[in-house]
Amino acid sequence: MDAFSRTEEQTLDGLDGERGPGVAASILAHGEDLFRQLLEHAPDAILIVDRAGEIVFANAQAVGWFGYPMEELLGRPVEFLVPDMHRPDHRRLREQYQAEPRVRPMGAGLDLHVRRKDGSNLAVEISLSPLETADGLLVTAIIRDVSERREAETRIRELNARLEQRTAELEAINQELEAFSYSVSHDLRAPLRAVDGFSQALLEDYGGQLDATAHDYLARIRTGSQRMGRLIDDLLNLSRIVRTDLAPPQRVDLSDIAEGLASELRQRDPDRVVEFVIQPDLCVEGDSHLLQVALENLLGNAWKFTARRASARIEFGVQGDAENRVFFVRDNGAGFDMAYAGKLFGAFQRLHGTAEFPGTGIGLATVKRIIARHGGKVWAEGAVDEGATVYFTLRECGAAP
Amino acid sequence: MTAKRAILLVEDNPDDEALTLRALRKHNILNEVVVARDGAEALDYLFGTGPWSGQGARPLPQVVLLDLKLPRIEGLEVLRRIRADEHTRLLPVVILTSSNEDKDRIDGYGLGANSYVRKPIDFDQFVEAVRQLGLYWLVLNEHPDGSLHGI
Repeated sequence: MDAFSRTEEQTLDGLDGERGPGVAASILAHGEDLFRQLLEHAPDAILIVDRAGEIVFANAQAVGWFGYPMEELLGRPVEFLVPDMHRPDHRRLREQYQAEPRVRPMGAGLDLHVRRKDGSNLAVEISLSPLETADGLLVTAIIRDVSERREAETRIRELNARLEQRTAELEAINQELEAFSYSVSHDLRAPLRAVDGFSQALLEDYGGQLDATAHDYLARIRTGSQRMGRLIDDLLNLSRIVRTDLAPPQRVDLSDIAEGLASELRQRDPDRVVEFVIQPDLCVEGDSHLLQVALENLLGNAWKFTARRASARIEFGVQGDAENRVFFVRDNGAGFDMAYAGKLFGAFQRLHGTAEFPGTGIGLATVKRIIARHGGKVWAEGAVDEGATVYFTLRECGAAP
Repeated sequence: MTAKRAILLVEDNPDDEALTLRALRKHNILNEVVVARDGAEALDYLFGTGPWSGQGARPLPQVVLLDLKLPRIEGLEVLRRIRADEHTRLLPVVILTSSNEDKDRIDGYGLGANSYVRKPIDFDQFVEAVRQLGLYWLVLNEHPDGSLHGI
């Protein structure tokens, strides 16, 4: 900047070419032309303003951007390029600058504008530098068009604001959901306890005075209220899976979990003959608790829906090539009609009557949410009386993210 | 055998109160059961304030069965005040609620609850829960054959 200023000063002083030999001298000899060319071709608009605030120089960009022909710029007070609302301030600030001139940006941190001939405003950044000349102090203003950048900034700000608003809305919804679950867990349960508890009290304390039909009715009341209790529990568990944060991914041995679950199922129902075929060493990365819940539901379903098979078979494994590895849980149980495959993973959707197979219809919905939270997919295939296979994808240990 | 100390049941739901009292009676639990219907009543009873003021020193209850969702002063606040007072800080407090929220559990244990029992919807489980509060010596008397008798 110093060199530039000096050159300009020399030019404006009417340089006589005596200051240096050789190339420098030659440059200086053509100083004014060079300087003008430099200014003319600068990518920024450049104005030079004298002590009185009148424009004494403007380059081609200034003419192009501001929309005034050169003759309408030269000799006019620079304030006519300042938007109306800032014009009085500008005069005062210009005088302050002239009292304390140094190289600096104008209005640092403010959004500056130049008013164009057509009345529109151009977003700009302006840097100022003083030139001491024989004719007094001149000020160079280098003006950069930042309208695109500022529009982009505005867009980013708007997007951010919208995003923040969306986040706030989601947080509010989440809180409401949490409050709702809490109140479901407390308030819906209380009347059920009364229904079930007093039915039991009636049976125990007045059972002798009731006939068989009355006993049957009371038993039905208790079964119904207990079933509703389970529905509430399952619903809450499902919502908890959505609400709680995933644990940081860790290595989870699905085969181990499946083996454990298989032996639990066998213990719970020792009379059943079920062959488990579990592929060893199936390792994925994820939240071990949630994956355990998912497998519990899948193997539990397979166990339940093979209840009427003399020789039940439940398989857990992985299939497909390295690119498309898919885990599966397969059984040879009651199966389902593929026409209803879409309903399988919805909450409270059941394809079998409760009398046939017990359940609340929340298991596969839970599985779907768990797999989805791990970034995987889940789907099912089956045929009536020929068994069902549930497929799902998870990130295997050591796989690229 | 000296007179058994009371059980303080803090419960605002009259159905739960009736079922709890029936369960205790049914199992020959002979302790007097004092029922407080909100947190403020419970604190008045424990600290001898309000309607319980000026009645001289009474022994503390054997155990407090404390619901969490209560009018006026909620259960966790009652627990906090019990633990904050030198006189009551060792009093056995069992949180008795229908909530299964982890937060309640963590808050309850964090504030020094002795146990946390979810009010079961199944009445058999409810009786079992009361039995399992760990108050065998003080509230229940269990014979080797497993049947329950009052002391």
